[in-house]
Amino acid sequence: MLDAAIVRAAKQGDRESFAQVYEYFAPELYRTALFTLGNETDAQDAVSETFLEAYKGIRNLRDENSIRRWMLTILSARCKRHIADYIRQRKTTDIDEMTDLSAPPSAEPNADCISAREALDTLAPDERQIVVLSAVMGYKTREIAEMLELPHGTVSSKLYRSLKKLRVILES
Amino acid sequence: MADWKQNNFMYGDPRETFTDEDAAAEFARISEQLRAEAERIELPDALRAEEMIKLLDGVVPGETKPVPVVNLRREYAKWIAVAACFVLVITGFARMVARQNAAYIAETASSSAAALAAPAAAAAGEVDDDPAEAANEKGLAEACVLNAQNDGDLRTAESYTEIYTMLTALVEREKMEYGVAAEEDAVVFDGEAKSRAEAPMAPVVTNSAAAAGDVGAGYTSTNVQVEGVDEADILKTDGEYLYHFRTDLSTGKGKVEIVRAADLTHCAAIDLPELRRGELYLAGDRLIVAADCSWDTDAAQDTVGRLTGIRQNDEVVVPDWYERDVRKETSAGLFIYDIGDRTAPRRIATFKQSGRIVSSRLSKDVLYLVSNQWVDPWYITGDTDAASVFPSVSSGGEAAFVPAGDIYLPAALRGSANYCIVTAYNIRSAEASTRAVLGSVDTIMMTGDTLLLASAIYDEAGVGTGITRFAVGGGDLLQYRSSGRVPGRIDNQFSLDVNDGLLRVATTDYSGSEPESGVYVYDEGMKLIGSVGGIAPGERIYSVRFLDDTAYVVTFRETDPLFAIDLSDPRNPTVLGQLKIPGFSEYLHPAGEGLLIGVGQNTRANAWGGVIADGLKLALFDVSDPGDPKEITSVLIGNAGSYTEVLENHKAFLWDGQNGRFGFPATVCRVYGATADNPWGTQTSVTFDGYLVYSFDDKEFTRIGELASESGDDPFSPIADATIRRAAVIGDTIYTAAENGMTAWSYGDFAKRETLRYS
Repeated sequence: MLDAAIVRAAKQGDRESFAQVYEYFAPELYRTALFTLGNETDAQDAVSETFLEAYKGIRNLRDENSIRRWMLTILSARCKRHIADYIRQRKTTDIDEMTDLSAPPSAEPNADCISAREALDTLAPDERQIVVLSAVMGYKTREIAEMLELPHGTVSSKLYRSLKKLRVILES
Repeated sequence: MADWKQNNFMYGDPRETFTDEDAAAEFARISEQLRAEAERIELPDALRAEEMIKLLDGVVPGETKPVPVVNLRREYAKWIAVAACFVLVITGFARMVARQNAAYIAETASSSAAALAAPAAAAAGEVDDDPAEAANEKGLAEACVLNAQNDGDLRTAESYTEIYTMLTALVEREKMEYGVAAEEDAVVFDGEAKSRAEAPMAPVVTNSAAAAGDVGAGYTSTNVQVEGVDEADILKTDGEYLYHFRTDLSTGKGKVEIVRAADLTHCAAIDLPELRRGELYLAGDRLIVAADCSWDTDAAQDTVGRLTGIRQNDEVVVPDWYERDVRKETSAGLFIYDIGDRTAPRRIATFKQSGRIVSSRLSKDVLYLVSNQWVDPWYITGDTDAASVFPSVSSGGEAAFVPAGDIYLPAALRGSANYCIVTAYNIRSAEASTRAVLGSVDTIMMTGDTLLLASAIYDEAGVGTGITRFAVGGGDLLQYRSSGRVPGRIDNQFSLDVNDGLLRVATTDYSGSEPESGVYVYDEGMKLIGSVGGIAPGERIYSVRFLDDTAYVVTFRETDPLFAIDLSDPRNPTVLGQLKIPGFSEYLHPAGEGLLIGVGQNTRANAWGGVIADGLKLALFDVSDPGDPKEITSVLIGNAGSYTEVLENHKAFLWDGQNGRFGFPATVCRVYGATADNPWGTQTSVTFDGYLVYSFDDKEFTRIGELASESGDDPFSPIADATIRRAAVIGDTIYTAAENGMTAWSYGDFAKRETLRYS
């Protein structure tokens, strides 16, 4: 449990306390980034960017109890930047082109269960981000919409679509 | 209640052959698998805290200095040198304490007043002694905290030093709990405090040439909360021309497009490359753009940088990644154009004030601009630029600080350091009157004679809403009246109302074990005169509409009760009736003769997400008998994923009461295809994106117009900048506006007439 007093001290600028706060959330931040972005290098970048942004901005934190969500919001914004880079690199503007809705599930079913990460990799990055925040981090779609600055409806429909795809793949 | 399943627009029931429990189980399984894998992932060494901290080392050389703290004891000692100011301050506090506090918390008031009176009164009598003993720093801080319950009245500041000290105390109040760090020389401002000038000469105000909201004029206007008080929006019309603020999505830059309605020809475009989200006002031959912008480098930056005689403390270390260039700071701007010649608009005035726009209003040729300026605490404890710490304005490029005498200070320090800045700007004469209040603002509400500034307050008493009240529209453009704290949080501007001088507000109080709502009535001095609480425990307010003597409140957790509250006796508000229906209304619109239209979402309970939205919902309520509100009929539109901007912004709602019609932009999604074997077989697709027009009477809604946004090759993937956002009706034509152009449609059969693409 992270003590609210430590968060408060971090807000005042105490580096020791901030280090404790970071340490508490670092594993979660890294896992979220890794599942969302799909590779370790970018995930590490996203986490260290989040570290700096959080340090600079923690004075703005209004309510100590929302520190987790606040940090994940910063992380999500950093991940969004990386996702934007992926899209630019692939020279694609339409997310739908990146995933083939009509394609049949993978032709070779594995004897072992396919790993969840591999399943996530078949999704588009923005879908991954929403799935991770929902299924792994446990946020409601309304909260995710606020964190990612997207309309609630968009988040809901993307989540439905993504979970459907995941199930198909995980079952095969 | 009408059977909504028959009354649907692309509504499918995805639950048909599988249960919500199955879906929940699936989700849980996927979650578990993902989580189990996530747990096994180790944090790489490079991301460990010990390593990450080194990133900060590289920025601040050597050992980090503890954050400098202004020691209030020292501050008082320095004030002795400026004895005159100091005495005024202390007696000011004493005077403040003596003022009557709001009645409904009289018990707390008397105890806190007593606590305040002792140190302050003692200090008042001992001007020459070290007042640090009498009003020691702890006493002052405590007094400020104790008084958090009741604002009392605001008073104007006597000097910038006083404001600066209050800002510092605000930041330091929390630090004191953790022990004071190294003492540093405090920053002292010797700048002159200009006392409040006499009320400015009232400029001659004439009513706007264009009648706003007058349907008799044959065209629609922005859906505003209070008739006669205009609100800014991206689309405006005067019945002849359409004015559209849009963002060119390919460049990210803002533009105003002026289009002649009759033949949909493009008259002129105003490039505003630095603005991304602007809104417009129209007043005769004046067009005003209100938007966040940055201070120009040509706004005589040097005059904003320093006040005469202010000394800065050069010894405080501010980490270099914290440097800020005030020139790049966001400010709230008004850009005024003369559009006498619609083909050649010319900018005639510019006005800016610090902070980000919260909202604005236009009433009788005076534009009220409200912004919120956040003061970075770093600049309170060690400053390089006074412009970061005090509010400033700039008119026509000439900048100046808001005089200390025009800045109001609260009795109680609360929240983080923000200024709420209000300017009353006469768009004909360019006379401006600015006031600032130390405290934040996130919502405003204005009638013809009253402006309310509201903000959430988080303090020892829980969550409340601070309200500051100004009188407007009189000879004195802007006059402070009162301020106070209301329990609970408001939903949006519709939670506030002024009727016969009385303030009525509906809030949800989250401070208990479960939320509950209430309606409160205050007089002009923010004294509570009546209230009704305990409404809908466990739920929160989703929409409110005050209509004369009745307040309609929608709360929601799983079903949507619509409450009618009688306010005819302000001392005794009473809940008259309630109606429970699934779904909830985010926006309520009075539709005349005992009718209320609700725009919101349909919902259904879902084991995995709680309650989920399942499409948009329009509801028609019969409130002719407020004791027994009834739902006459409702219409469901689409399934989960469906959306309309009206859910968040009432200005997206188009009202044509005279013709019994209304409209709104919508994206409609359908969810279908689930079966028991394959609960995840649901597909979601966008089945409609564009603008919907409905007609209504006292029995039903009829969908009469479906105006589709332009789409590309894939009908399910609307082009982002072709999404219709607003519409306006002029005569027998309805015009829809998207970021990339406008389209004219017949208002009779809704056939498309012509399209104009912006270049």
